[in-house]
Order: sequence, then C-alpha cells, then structure tokens
Amino acid sequence: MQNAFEDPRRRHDFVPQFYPKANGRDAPAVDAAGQNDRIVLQFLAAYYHLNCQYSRLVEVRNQAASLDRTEAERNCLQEIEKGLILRDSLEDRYAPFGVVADPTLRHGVTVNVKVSFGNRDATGRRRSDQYTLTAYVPIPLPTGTKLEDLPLKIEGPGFNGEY
Amino acid sequence: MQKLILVNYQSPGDLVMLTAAVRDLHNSYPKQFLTDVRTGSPELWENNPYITPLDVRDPEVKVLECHYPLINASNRQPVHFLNGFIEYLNDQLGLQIKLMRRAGDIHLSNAEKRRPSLIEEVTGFDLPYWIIVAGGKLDYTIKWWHFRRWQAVVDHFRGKIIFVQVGEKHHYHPALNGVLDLRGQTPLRELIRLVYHAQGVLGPVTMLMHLAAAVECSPGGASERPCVVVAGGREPPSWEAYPEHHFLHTMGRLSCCAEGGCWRSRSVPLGDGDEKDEPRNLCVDVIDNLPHCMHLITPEAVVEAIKLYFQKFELSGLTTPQAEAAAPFLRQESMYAFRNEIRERLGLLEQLPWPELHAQVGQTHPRDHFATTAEKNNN
Repeated sequence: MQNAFEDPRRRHDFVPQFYPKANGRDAPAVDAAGQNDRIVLQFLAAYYHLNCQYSRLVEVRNQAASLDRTEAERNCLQEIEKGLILRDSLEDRYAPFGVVADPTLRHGVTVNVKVSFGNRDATGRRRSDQYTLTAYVPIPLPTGTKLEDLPLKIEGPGFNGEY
Repeated sequence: MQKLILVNYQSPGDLVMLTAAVRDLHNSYPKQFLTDVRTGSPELWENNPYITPLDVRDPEVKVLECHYPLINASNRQPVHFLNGFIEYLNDQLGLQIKLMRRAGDIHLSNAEKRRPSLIEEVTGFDLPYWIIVAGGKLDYTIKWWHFRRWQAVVDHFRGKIIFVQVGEKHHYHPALNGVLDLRGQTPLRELIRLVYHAQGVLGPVTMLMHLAAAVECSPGGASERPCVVVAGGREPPSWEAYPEHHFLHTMGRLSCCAEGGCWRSRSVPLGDGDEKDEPRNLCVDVIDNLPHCMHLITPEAVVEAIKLYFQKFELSGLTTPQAEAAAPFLRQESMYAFRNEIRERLGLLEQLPWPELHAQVGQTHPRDHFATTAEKNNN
C-alpha cells in the first residue's frame, strides 16, 4: 500500500488549503521514512481527497437545478464514497496497531487530523521506554553526626565525589 | 491474630481477584487474621470490611508479595483466576482457604449506592444502560476486537439500549458513534458506581468483566448482572469466565487454541520495543490483522448473546420517551452522519427513474455535511 501511495503535495493541482495539519502541526515531509509518519501521510491524503471532493460537491449544488447538475452531483458523491471507503480501509488496516485518526472539522473541511499510535505516547516516546524521575532532596544531618555513623548505606551520584 | 500485609502491583483486574482471596481468607478463618494491602488502584479496597490499617514496621506483621502461579496450570486443570491468589496464600501460609463465591469482592458505601447513577447525573433521567469497552490496554492487544464490530453491535441496538463507552484515557479506546461517551471520565470509584447501576456490561477480557461479577446489582434490576465477553482463544474459559456471563470463546475451533488458551500477547507487533512484539508472543493465525479467533466471533453472535439476557431476565429495551431523552447525549460523529447521508443520497440517485429524478432536481441544497454536532448546535 505504501508503494501505491501518492502524496497529494506532489501533484501539480495540489490545493494547500485543503491539506489538513497533523496533530496541530505541519505534516511530515513528503519523503519522511518513519513508520508512523507514513501512516500520518496516508490519513492526511485521504482527508485531503475528501476535502477536495466536498468542495466540488458544494460548488455543484450551488449551480442552478438541471439534469447536468444532478449528474455532476452523482459523480461528486461517488468520488466522496470512494474517499470514505479509502479512509475506512486505512482505519481498518491500522486499528490493530492501536492507531486512531480523529479529524477536526471547521466549516465542513477537515483542518486537522489527530493521530495517536499504539507504540508512542502523546509526547512521542516509545511506550516501553523506561522513565527516570530524579529529585534533589536535601536532608540535613543532626549536629555532630557524620555520614558514616548512620546505619544506612548511601550510594549514588553525589557520594564519593561522583556526579 | 496473625497480621498480614498483602502486596501486589499488577493491573486492577488482577487486584479484583485478590479481593476475593482476602474475603475468603477471612471467611475460611474467621477472626484469625488482620489484613491490609499494598497495591495499585487503592480505590478497589474502599469500604472493604476485611482491611485493617497495618504498619509494615510492626514486627508482628508479615508482608507477603502475592502472585498467582496457578495460571501456569490453567490449560491443564479446571481452575479459575479467582483461585489464583487463594492457592498462593494456601501454599505460602499453610492454609486451606476455600473459594466461597465465584466473584471478586468490591464494596460500595451506602452513600455511593444512594447517589443516582452517573447516567442520571449526566442526562437528568434514570435510564437503563449497558457499559461497553471497545478496546483495552496496549500490552495485550490480542484481546482487542475490531472497533467496527463493536460499532455494529451498538448500531443494532440503536434506540433500544444506551451504551456507555468507557476506557482509560491513555489506552486504546476508539470512539464509537451513538454511545454516551465517558471515555477517560470515570475514575475507578465512578466506574464501580457505573457498574452498580448498569443493566449489563459488554467488552473483551478486561477488568470490567471482573467488576461486572464483583459489584452487587442495584435493587430493582436483574439478580445477576448480564455480561457479554468477546474472548476468542487466548484464555481458557475455565480460568476466566463467570457462570452468569456469556463468554464468547473459540477454544477448540482452531489449531492454535485446540488444547487451551494460546496466552499470546499481540496480534501484530506495535513497534514499541516491548518484548510482547517478539514472535513467540504474537498471534500465529491472523486475518486482516485480527486474530482468527476474534474474527470468528461476529457482531451477530454478540447481539444474540445480549438478546438472550433480555429474554432470560425479561429486561425491557428503552421506551420511545427514554430513547428520545437519551438521544441528545449520545455521540453523533459528524463523519458518520455525513457518510450515511452521502450513501442515502447516492442510493436515491441510482434508484430514481429519470422523470422522478427530474422532478426532484432543485430539492437539494448545499449543506455543511461535515459540521460537528457542536457547530450545528451553535448555528
């Protein structure tokens, strides 16, 4: 599917205002190679296609009533139907990977697609990565007490001159 | 009296099992133990009469980290998850605790029971509802059913059952359409209260199925809480299922679960660096990225299981006024509405003969099909 995918930004008739943002930011580069970036680009392309077709539908419906208009409407609807099927197939394909692509719409146009992944959290970290939290907690010793007198073994940075 | 602090930091579903062990320790050995716990999800222990605050520094206290190695025998012996911690305590403490009730042990305070249901608080009406979980944690993705299948079940009962979708915010819970959406909005005590008032529960193998059995039913409902579990072939029903539940499994239908649960972790690798991505943990029989066992369970089978509960307990679906009262609170994703509208209009255009089509020309108007519910309301 990736081989067949064509980024609409490469097309000569690309309309930038119909190309949504991804998670509120500009889309990944056309040649982005990361697996998640490729998934994002596919969803953006699907919603771009829907935006274009919807715009055409509105245009057609603004025309005076005629059989030609009805035929044009039918063509637009069929294109939208194809776009919806493509969008659904992307959702189906990536659902088992924990991918959710949630569109944000403004005045009928998808302006942003919020994409979340099964393998990365909202900050982009791999979910299985270890988190390390560090806190500096000063503990004053009682007057006259030496560290070595305490019934504790204290290790780590800060002791024996390590940092 | 022997003082025990039981320690376990596994998932809440596991802890529901531990509640049963604590209950039956006391039932089997009355007035012989004082018990406290150190676990995650402390909300599960609220109002629990078997918990006594104990101090780990008390020399009389025995601190015991709890496990359930019995799981390793689950494909060979007819043992239930509820027996897991009980067997462990028996081994560690030289006891003979017996499982007294086939459910965990979750307690609500009288104040919690008296409060109206969360749904009544949201809608202003005391409406019957089912809880639905349409996803799960990201560790064992093999338990997931496809969200379109959950959606098909919800769609089937539209106007008859209110489904309340729940799920932890940071887990995988794709939004369903036509549900009352409480994803990420039910802290554990609220979830327990939600279960208390629920007519039924629907989901994969998750904590919620254990809560469905462990939380008592509110007065006036069925004596047992209906629960339909889409389980597939990962876990043997003898280990996981409750007698009153419809546990939809495929044990014996596929070679990979012919002799028991596969106990694998994921249907496809997520690429998150977790060892659950390793081949030994992956499903060996995948159809369209869905485990074959989960693929075999159809929305129709789930619908049928729910209908059986309605017959068994003589439950009634929503009345028309109830459905109308709930409708404004259900998630109406504009993309679904748009898709349906497009398909209806296209169908109409395909079916109409030319003269009628001609007569209809001019009756359609440009509309903001993609407008969200909020946008439409604002307009």
